[in-house]
Amino acid sequence: MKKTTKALALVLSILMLMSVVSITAMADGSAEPSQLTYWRALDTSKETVMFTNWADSELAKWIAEKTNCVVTFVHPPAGQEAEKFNLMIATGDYTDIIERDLSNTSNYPGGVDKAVDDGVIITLNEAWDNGLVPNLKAYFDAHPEWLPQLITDRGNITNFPFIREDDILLTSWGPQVRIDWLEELNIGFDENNLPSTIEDWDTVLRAFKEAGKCEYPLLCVSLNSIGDNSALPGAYGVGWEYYLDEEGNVQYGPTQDAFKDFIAQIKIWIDDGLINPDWQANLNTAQLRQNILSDNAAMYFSNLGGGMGTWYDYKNAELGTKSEPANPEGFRSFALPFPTLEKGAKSRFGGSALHVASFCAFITTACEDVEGACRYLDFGYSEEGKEMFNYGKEGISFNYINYEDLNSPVDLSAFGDKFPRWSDAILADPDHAVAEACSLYIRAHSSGPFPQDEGYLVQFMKYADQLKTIETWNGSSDYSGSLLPRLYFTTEESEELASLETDIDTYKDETITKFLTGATELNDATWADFQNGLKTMGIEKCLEIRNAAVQRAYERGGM
Amino acid sequence: MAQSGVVNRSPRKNQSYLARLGRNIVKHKWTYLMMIPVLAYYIIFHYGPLYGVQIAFKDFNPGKGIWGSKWVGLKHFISFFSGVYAWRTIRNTLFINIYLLLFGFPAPIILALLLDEIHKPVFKKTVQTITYLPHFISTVVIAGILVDFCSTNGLFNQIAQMINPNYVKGALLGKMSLFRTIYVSSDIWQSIGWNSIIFIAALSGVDSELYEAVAIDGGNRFHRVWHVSIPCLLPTIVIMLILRIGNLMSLGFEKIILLYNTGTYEVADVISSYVYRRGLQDFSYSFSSAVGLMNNIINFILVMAANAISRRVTETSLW
Amino acid sequence: MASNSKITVRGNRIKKTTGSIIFDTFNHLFMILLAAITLYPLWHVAMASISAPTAYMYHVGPIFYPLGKITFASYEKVLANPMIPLGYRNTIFYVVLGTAINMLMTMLCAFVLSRKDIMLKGPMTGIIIFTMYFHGGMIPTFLLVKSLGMLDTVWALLLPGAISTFNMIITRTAFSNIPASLEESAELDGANDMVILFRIILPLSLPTLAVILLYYAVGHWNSWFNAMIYLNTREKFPLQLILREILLANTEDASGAQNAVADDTIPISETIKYSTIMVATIPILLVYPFLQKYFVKGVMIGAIKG
Repeated sequence: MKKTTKALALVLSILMLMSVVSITAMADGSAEPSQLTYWRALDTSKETVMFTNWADSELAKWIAEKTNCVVTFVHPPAGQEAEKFNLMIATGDYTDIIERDLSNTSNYPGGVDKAVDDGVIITLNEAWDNGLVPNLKAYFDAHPEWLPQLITDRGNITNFPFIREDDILLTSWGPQVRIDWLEELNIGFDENNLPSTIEDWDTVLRAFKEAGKCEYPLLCVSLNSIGDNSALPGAYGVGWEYYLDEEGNVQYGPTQDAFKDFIAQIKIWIDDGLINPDWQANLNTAQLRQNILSDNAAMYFSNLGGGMGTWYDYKNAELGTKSEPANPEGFRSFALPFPTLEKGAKSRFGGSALHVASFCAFITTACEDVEGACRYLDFGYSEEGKEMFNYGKEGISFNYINYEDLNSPVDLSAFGDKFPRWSDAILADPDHAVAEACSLYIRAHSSGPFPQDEGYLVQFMKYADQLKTIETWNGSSDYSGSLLPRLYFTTEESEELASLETDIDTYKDETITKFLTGATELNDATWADFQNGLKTMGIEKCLEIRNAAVQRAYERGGM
Repeated sequence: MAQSGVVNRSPRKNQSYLARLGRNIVKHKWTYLMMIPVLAYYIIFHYGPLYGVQIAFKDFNPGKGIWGSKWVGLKHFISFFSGVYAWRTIRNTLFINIYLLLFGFPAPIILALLLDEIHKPVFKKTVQTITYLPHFISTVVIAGILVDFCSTNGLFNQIAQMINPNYVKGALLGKMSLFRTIYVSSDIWQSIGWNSIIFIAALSGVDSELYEAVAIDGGNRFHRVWHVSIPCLLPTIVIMLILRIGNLMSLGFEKIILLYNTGTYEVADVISSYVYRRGLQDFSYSFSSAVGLMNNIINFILVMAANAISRRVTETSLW
Repeated sequence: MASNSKITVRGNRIKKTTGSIIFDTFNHLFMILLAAITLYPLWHVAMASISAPTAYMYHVGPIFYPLGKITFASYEKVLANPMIPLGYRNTIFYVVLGTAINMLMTMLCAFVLSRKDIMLKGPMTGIIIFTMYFHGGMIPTFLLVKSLGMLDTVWALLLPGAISTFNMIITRTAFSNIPASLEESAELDGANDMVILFRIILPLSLPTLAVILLYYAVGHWNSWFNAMIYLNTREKFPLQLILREILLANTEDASGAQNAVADDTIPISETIKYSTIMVATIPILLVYPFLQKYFVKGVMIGAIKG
């Protein structure tokens, strides 16, 4: 293995030398196209409807032409990505490029650095220094604060990441309310004055119940949905699981005193019949939607696109009001700010995404044309590439318009009169939904090796309520300070965490459930027992490992 | 009935084993010839990949393959047993399996016997065909229906309220006391017809002269079932039972994770669902292989024991 | 013919006592109830598949009749896929050839292990039972199939599972339940092992063989995992793999990105789940009533003895 690595290193350096030459050759336009193989999972809900191989999409053809590459795509069957990936790696038949987030240790044991050590992928450090990825480098030069999210503890740059460039792209989930009902209640709340504190929530939930709007006003689909993204515990200043406190140390929510107050409040709501008892039953997405659409819930947590957008679609389809994307009659969902205890305060919780959202494309050691692979993947970070990944090609899938013509509630003035408005090829495909038609021309609606742009979102979210909702969520939460940076663990650390945390999670979930159902009374003694239990199971060790990893993250560039 | 063949076996003890084997092969050359493709199949496709078992004792790393991964001895086994919930998951796996054995195993046999007592061919075939349908509906759909029925406003709560107006509605799947009942009874619901097929087939092989003999002796229908049907089913029942006992440590995670929740972990969390949750945190190929191997060793011991007991008691056995 | 008359004879000889009548009544009622309960899942799927998708969206609770206006839109969407006829063809091919291989190998194995005086029977059974509990896992099996040159060929779907040990044991049990006297008398008549297998054992075990056939055929019909692992050429995909793709392609995305529905597209993502099940299940359901004719009592023994 070592020898191979050395030999490969040699080959690579030679290739890099040659690539400098070939770049010069490229300028003459006389270079042979690079032959590459590329492994990636297709998005089942959007892409496979349109094609079975991404090479058949317009976007893939345009990029191949731009970068002078001929790419053969290998797609694992939907739902079996992990099996196919393991088989590919275990049999040693790597493609040149792999698109899969290897920083996730459930995808690759030990993560990215280990994959480099194992000789599966190459680092891009030399390519970075030698100018093989000029656009990626320029992009991070322009956003130096995101660089620490890209490099590993060992200083490796390994991948072409998916970046959510604008803040508006980071939040797509949160608490929502049936605003039409809320305004009917006439208790002083409306679209411009939304319930924002736990006290407000209490008032509103009771009012919904009393007015008989529905039997159980608050719908949580599972125990974890009560704590999802720490939206509710965040009001008490604590996370549902791990989070960064104001000093930048890792904390575990359930070990904090304020967490007990949070649990006590939820218990009151459960006891008073304000929370649907089905939180114990683990409802799925379809059942969540059925409850919401059949007027069985007044407040709930959900996504914007897959949630609100589809509900509006269904309501409109049912009412026959299909022509214009308008709010349907008799059903309006709207954002609730992430709640706090004090009026006017901002929650430190609620969001979950980093700007460098995921590690996307890697070049493997099997790649013989590293220069070509770099050229292909680097394209997405150029101005031209970014536009192509987000909007496609001018005159085909988009046309420039003045931003004011879009009438968006989001401030888009930076675009000036160069706002890339999708054309009817995407927006008016008679046979396909927008999300499906998009797949032929762009990748912004899923993910990939490029920065995602806000101009995509304001077109994709076709209902004004959706965009206003994002703004409400963004305005009510300042979650970046509570979010753990991308952490790297040694193999030993990640194994230890897995074995400790599986038990800790089980224990925490079970004990909290018992507190909430009343199977265990919630008092100082039982709470102390719970704390002791967590300690015995090694919560301190977990915090220690995570704090050490956070320290390493600070060291590699400060967050 | 398995004994009568023993007569043929030559009791000449002074002959060497090889000599007897040689004569045996010559005598049954066709039978031995038939065995060649079968043995070849098992050796190539089952024993060939068997080296893969070693990943239970290694830290499997896809980049290094099975042979290149590092040996770690019993690390993964120790890691499983040192978990706080290891014994609870073993207990739950055994409990649910034992309930399935107590209630789920006899159910299709009883169905087969009852169906056998129906003498209207069309009615009988229709019932048979209908009861076997749920087998073809995927677990996800069945579980979805169940979650629906068990929810606070679901069918079961509505029925309970009709019967008893004072009944307090609740999420039935959140109740610890009900989980195993729901799991086992839905399992019977889904599989009773499909599992009864083998017994229906075995019953149809019964020589009708035996029934006539009972009738001539003045026996009633119960006698007929007791003295003819059940004895004729017994070899099939015993074999199925032995195989079932050899599965006591296995229970798939799919239906469990669709039905359980934090309120019912205490009674519902089984080995496979625990391994599944752990796999969500960390790549756990070796860990799950180790747990799987442990389960199978226990299963294998159980099946051997059940087989040995059965050989003595019922004269029916796997080998 | 003979069997029918025998059943009637048996029926007549049992006295219709009161107890017997009560039992019959309850037995029939019980069967009707059981049939109603077990029919529900398929009924639910069938009704959901033709329900108006929007009506289905709102519905909470059991479904006993189609919701909203009956529509076959989800079937149209499933069947519009050009791969469907190909998938049916491939699946039928795999079912027929695969089941034939399964039956042949299983009968051979079961016959050998059911013979009374085969000396290596014990160790051989041990070797086989062992494989029920210990296996190498997916990666070594994949490497084996690859090294045998069977990747992307039909053999990868047919050979690695040529015998299900469970089915083989059931078959062997049925074989060894055949009265030894029949074999012995045949042997006295000079019949060799082949003759015994084909003239005595197989005809007498038809009900069990029909069950095993059903098990294997249903197994092949429902299988998609091996095809997914071993096949690359889409033209070789079995039906289930194609239906799985359609199903996943129409599954709602919970991850946050919008799965917006075009203005004039009906939201059928939910009901399509049910029409896929119907399309995949109906053909194999029809096999069973056909096999039921082999479950007729006493016919074979009578035939042999006669």
